[in-house]
Amino acid sequence: MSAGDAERIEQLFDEAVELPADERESWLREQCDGDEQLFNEVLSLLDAHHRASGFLGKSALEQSPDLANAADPIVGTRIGPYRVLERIGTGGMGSVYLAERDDETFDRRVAIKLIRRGLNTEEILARFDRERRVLANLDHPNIAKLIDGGSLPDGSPYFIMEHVEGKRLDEYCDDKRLTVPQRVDLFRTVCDAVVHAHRNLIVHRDLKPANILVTPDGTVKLLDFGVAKVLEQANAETHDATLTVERRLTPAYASPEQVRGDAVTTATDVYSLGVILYELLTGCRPYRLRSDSWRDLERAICDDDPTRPSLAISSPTTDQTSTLTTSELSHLRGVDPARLRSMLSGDVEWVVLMALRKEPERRYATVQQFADDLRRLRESLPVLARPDTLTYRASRFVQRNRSGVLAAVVLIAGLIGATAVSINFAVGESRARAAEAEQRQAAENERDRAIEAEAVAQQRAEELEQVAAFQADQFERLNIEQMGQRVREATIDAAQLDARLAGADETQLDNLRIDLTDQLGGVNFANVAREALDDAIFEPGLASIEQAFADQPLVRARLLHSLGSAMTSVGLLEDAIPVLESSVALFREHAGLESQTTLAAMSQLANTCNRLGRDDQAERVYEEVLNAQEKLLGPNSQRAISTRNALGAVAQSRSDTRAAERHYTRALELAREHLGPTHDTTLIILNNLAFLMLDMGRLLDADPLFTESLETTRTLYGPEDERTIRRVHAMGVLRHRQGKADEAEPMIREAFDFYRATFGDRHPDTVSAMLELSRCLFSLRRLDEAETYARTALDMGRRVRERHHQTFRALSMLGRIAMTRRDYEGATEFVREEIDLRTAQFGADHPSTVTARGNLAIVLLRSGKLEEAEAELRAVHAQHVKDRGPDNPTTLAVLNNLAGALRAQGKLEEATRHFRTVYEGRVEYLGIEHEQAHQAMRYLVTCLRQQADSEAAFDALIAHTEAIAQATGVPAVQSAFAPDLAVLASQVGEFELALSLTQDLRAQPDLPASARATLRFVAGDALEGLGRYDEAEAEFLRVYDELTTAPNVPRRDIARAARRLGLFYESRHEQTGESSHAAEAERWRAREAVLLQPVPDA
Amino acid sequence: MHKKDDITQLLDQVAAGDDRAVDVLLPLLYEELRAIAEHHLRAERPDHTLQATALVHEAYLRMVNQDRVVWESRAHFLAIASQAIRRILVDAARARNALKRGGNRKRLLLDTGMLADENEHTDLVALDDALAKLHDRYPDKARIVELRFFGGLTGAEVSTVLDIPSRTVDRHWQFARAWLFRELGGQPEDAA
Repeated sequence: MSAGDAERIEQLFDEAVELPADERESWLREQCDGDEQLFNEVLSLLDAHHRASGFLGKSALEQSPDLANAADPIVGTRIGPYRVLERIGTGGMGSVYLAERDDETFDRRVAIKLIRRGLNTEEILARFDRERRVLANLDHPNIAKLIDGGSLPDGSPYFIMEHVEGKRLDEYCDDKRLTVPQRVDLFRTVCDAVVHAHRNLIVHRDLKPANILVTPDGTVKLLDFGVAKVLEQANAETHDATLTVERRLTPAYASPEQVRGDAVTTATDVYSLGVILYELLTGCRPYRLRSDSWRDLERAICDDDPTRPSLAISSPTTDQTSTLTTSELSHLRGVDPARLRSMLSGDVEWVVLMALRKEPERRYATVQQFADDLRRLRESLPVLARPDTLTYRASRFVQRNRSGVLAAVVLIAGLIGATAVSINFAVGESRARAAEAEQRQAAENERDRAIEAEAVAQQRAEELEQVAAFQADQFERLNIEQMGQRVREATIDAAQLDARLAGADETQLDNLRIDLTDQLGGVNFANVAREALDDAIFEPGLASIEQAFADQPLVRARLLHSLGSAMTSVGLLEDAIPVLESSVALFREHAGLESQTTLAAMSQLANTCNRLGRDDQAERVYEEVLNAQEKLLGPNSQRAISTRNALGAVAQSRSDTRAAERHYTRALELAREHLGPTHDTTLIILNNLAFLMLDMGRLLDADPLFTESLETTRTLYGPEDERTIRRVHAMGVLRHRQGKADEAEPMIREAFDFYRATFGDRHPDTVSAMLELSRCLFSLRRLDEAETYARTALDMGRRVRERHHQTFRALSMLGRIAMTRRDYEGATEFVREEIDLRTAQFGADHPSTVTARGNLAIVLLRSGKLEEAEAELRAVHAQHVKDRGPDNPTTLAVLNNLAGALRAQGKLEEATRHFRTVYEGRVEYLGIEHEQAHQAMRYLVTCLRQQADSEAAFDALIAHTEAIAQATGVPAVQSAFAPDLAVLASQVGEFELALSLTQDLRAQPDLPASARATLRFVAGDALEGLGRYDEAEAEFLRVYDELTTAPNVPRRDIARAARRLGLFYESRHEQTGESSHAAEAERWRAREAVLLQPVPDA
Repeated sequence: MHKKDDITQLLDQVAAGDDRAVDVLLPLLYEELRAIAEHHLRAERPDHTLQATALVHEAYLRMVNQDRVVWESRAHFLAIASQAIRRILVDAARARNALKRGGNRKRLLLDTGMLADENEHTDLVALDDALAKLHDRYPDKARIVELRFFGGLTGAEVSTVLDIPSRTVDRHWQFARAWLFRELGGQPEDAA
């Protein structure tokens, strides 16, 4: 093949690729002019091109193991009978390689562990040898086995182990979406392996999910005994202060004694197992940290109480170590949040917390005991583990902060004193009153007795009511976090005072303050305060209420209500429910449903239930309350309206949007009319309804609500207030969804700047506003800016954790940006990554995964892979219909794309049907003026015209423009559809309309030559149709003149004008029989033929 | 190792059209890139995948005197580095293939009508052979593949390095990819 051939091949290929796929072959055949070899060469390249779109899509380094691996001198060599295939891990002292046995009979893969070059010091060699001996002693199905050992030619040792192909324990559980019981069972197998090691006097010391793999068949394998310790038989414990120096532990799983460098025993493994179980169950780390520094973590390990598992999942978003929402965590465990919360409370909780105790001797004595308790748990038998007692807690607190604790306790007593006093007062008072009454009753005669007794009872009840009200008020104002904070400060102050009295100077005092602030930083004083309240106030309070008012049910009910509300406000939700329930029961029995106090207690119960996720119970109770309130106070009372709003909120949290809408709408109507538009209750309902509409995609309905909410809030609180900014943000989101990105952008930017200045760069609100801003800039086609924000958000998301919803959203944004830039490879990469991560996280059918698959389908569509796109879009659409309903905007967007894919493949009938559905849905949800409604109409019309169904196209378009005219007052002629409408009108014989449209249109300045020509054609057609032949002739002639004189008009277009003239005269000739018309027709046909002839390049 | 100034000097010679300087530079880069890669291997970052561009950049900073170098030399450096990465990866792949049973490496088998999947690993040895053939007929295109696929450069970067319009780079890339794809999967051994 000559150089000339090569050039010709390239040239033909480049040109053919630009042509539509179905025209390439015929064009090429023509160009090759019988040169079969050339034709085949280029055609095969075109075929390869069609199939090669993913080929070389990732660079060599991205797809091969990595360059380091290629550069590793061990890879490719032979060790004993094994060939080293690749490096699969690098640890502190050695690397692990995957190797394969050479002979055909033993096709077995193994892992080989080697000391890294240059590290064979005596100490390392000894340690390496120890690991080998440790492994040699272990033979258990759940521990990776030692197969062989030896030394390399240079003398450095190696050993060969069973190669385990599997997933990390935690990833396995999430991938398989194991339920809580399944997780516990799998974890018990891990315990079995550790028990085996302990029986052989080996402590693992580095247990963590990364060291525990699960094979595809579900077998657990414990790995890496690299820092394991052989216990001396005599005392079964060992000191190893140098451990952290030689090898950094994985701090998250290290026990307090390891962090402190104290004696390490089998209890150390119990602790690490406890952390692993905690994470498997909750998806969170046991401690809430202020920062991710080691120092904070170590302090937390030594001093902080782990968050109770059932509470950890309730508010995981405030926890830096967890990035999933409660509903995501629950989804991964196959249950809803309320169910998960209840599964993780009670015995499970105590078992986990027992393993995590700070003092080794207070944990389970052995892993076997731990495993046994887990078994009992599964068999619903009583477990050994019990919650820590208050005495123990107090003593530990005292140990930690000897000098400060006294003051702290005094302070707690001070804060809660009022309550304690009020209860005592209530108890004392009531006794005194009762005694007094008895005395009087004894003294009075029979006649007065009944009246007097009633009066006393009445008075007593009133006084007690005051006491109880005061008490409830105290608790409502109680801020548990703040209280904890004050305990902390008081502790430090007290310690300082102590030191000052002992004669410390100012520098020493300063240092002391710094040290103490540091040390107490990790203690969760809010928990201390909460539990202190529970133990010191609520429990005794409950007991004394039961006792003192045994025969006064209403007083008892009142006090229980107060106590239950108080427990709710400090976050003791589950404990509050039985208290509130008994309060309600007492009220109902003794005061009846007509009593305000009964209804107030019921509302409180429903509220607590709702916060705990017990929506059914909450709804039932609220409904009863509402009924009664309407009867008692009337439906227009503030209380009844609030209850209705609460019912809406419960319905919404149950995802029953219809019921939620019904409740909110009615509540809002009543509130506006009877409470006024600026009443707090009105504003709350307004916001609730606005966000509900936004969630449902009903933008038209949401608009006035958001506007009203923003304006009222601004008037009430001023433009700089956080409440106002949040409304501005919401408004921005709405505007953007309405397609008004230019209006949305400054609003979202204002919110973004505010969050950034107020909460910092990494705050979830800041990052989420950043993504919103990116989306907005994208809509404005400011791609570079959009990309910058999306990439920053991606970095933030990744920094937290790979599978994080911000990561997903940023990837999806970057995919869309790449797609807009026609970088389909890039787009595919982003979208695929998003799908993979979402699938791994939530499963393939989860709505958010399905949405991401929809995006992939769009990339396929845009890059011309129509059939694949169609299949994917059908699947996604079906899933959306199931998840969101057929009319949902997202569902419609997918249907729109499906219709597009069908149209591109010529499946016009089905495409038309879908476009029509999309159009109708969008008009309903977005309004006739929305750009997406216009777009749907354009597609519909194009599709109908492709089927040559001008009638239907005209009908659809005229209805659309008329609806626009009605809604906005913009006449059809001024709408963007006027040219299309003109063309269609003349095609269906609406000549007058066509003519008037073209005349108005042509009056517009700056019309491109081609558009003007089209309009003249239409005008000519219309005039001809109306029988105004002279005018029609003039139009057609002017088209021809204008086209021939305008620059750069393709000859094909001029030929069209000539052809139209030819046809015009031909039909004139048929009508008139005049020979001049026939001659003209002949002349124009000839001119057309000339114009269509190829012209040699100038 | 050569001093930075020597390397910079050699690059200047390449820029001036002296091809012998490439022969001196290539093995130097080969060794340097391997050394950097091995350094990363030891650096206890097991989950860290080395990016080609990051690697080349590091080598550049280590080997070239930043004060003296001219832009054209940087472009040449990137080109030679891409070539070096190609050799390192292909050498490693050849060594590994030789070890695998009888060296019967798997070719990229593609049925007609089957689309290439970008997640599918390309057989580097087969690709290297095909790339050599492409180089015989279309040397410019082979260079673009080397820069993009082995050097990890983007289309825009290739356009800057080779000083040709990015539209042309895209066109060449499109052609080269189709050509190589056919070479690897389509007709076995030129249908001779």
